[in-house]
Amino acid sequence: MIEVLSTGALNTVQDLGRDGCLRWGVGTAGAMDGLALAAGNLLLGNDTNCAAVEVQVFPFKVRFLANCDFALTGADCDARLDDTPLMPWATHGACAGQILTLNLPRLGALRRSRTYLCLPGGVDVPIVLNSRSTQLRGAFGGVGGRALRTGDRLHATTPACLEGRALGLVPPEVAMPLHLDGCPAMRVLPAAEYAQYTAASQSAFWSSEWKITPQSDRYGFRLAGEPLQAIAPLEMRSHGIVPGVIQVPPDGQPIVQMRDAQPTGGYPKMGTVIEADLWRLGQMPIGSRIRFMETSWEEALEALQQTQAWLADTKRQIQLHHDTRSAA
Amino acid sequence: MNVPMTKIARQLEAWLRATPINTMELRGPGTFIHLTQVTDNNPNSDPVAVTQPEDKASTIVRAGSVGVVMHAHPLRDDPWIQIGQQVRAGQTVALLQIGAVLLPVPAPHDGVVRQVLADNGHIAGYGDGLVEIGKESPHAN
Repeated sequence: MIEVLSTGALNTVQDLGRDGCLRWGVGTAGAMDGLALAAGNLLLGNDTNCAAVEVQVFPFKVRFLANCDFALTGADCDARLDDTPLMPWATHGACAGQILTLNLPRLGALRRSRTYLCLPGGVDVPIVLNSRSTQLRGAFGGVGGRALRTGDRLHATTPACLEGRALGLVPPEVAMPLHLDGCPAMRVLPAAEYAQYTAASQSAFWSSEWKITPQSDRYGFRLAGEPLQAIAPLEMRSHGIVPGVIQVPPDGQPIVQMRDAQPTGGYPKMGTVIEADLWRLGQMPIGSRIRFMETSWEEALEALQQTQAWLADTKRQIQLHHDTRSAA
Repeated sequence: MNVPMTKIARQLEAWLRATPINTMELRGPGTFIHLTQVTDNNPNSDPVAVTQPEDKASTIVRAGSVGVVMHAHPLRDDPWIQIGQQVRAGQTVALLQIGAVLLPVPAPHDGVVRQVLADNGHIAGYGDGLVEIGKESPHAN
């Protein structure tokens, strides 16, 4: 069990998301970096979908009320257990009374923005509509449908304290980097209204950098760059949208819908960040620049398979390590 | 397989003798080799870091696993340790990469880093020296 000692306004409990509920008007929610969450869970022997704490406002501080293993993945935030520096992307063991502090994510080319604190068996919160993710708009899921507050106590579903030394992973952004001209890139499928933009705007969409503005959060990332112009004004009725959809409001500055996006929208759609690359985008800090890379349906499916293969291989190697240790 | 199995087994046995590894199993299509080393040595209780006192003043931290030596975490530029640095027992002094897995190698006791013995990117074998840590005081450890 852990007790929150200090937290920013928008740190929440998330699993991989509430899939299949858009038809009822319920957004997906879930971890912004689902791959980091899944990998953190694998490090502890959990199912990939177990719930964890998504920390995006730092510093974040918890006290362990019992001996417990934990894993940290996602942004490298100079984590400390009491005074001991902790390796990112690794498991650790805490004793009752110890304090875990997640500081501001490190700067540099590999700066990321969200850290996942995973517990054995996952964070024990009720399942609502098939998921433990916090749905802030609907105020359900996670801990009372809200962000964490000082004094909240979270339980591990299957508290464990194994006598193992820390075990780390090569982070996926190192194992599967994706850049375009040195800029972090995401693969994008052209969407329904793509053809209704000028050739110059289509070209700019792929060839220029897009800056992530401060008006970016779990709902959506507002980007800044060369305004995208439609050939003729577009008027549309509201229609279903999913995380990853890139909308273009009348000012021509695109918005990428993220995990807490509402299920419908009425702006024209330029493209969709493929599911396999949403974890990359979900980690991009405010102020950073990204590029879009045109892809095809087949390549998008292949990318998803590659991500699944990375997880499967990681799971196999962690298991192999545990087998070796227990045999020794 | 062109080489007779017994010859392979003898070669493996010879290699095994030079290490503190007790048991080795090799499985392949139609192949299964199991070698057990009979030894008086205590089985290595910590396969990540094999530490042996070199003299009373320092300890050589050795690789308890085959792996690629990493002086820094792949997300970081700054190395785990520098010569002359004070370290605490349990603090990471090196990292071994085995495929996707990273094994931190901890300092066995409080002390001062005297020497870094393995280059970054070097493939460490079982028992290879990685770091020399001087003891802070005669009472340490």
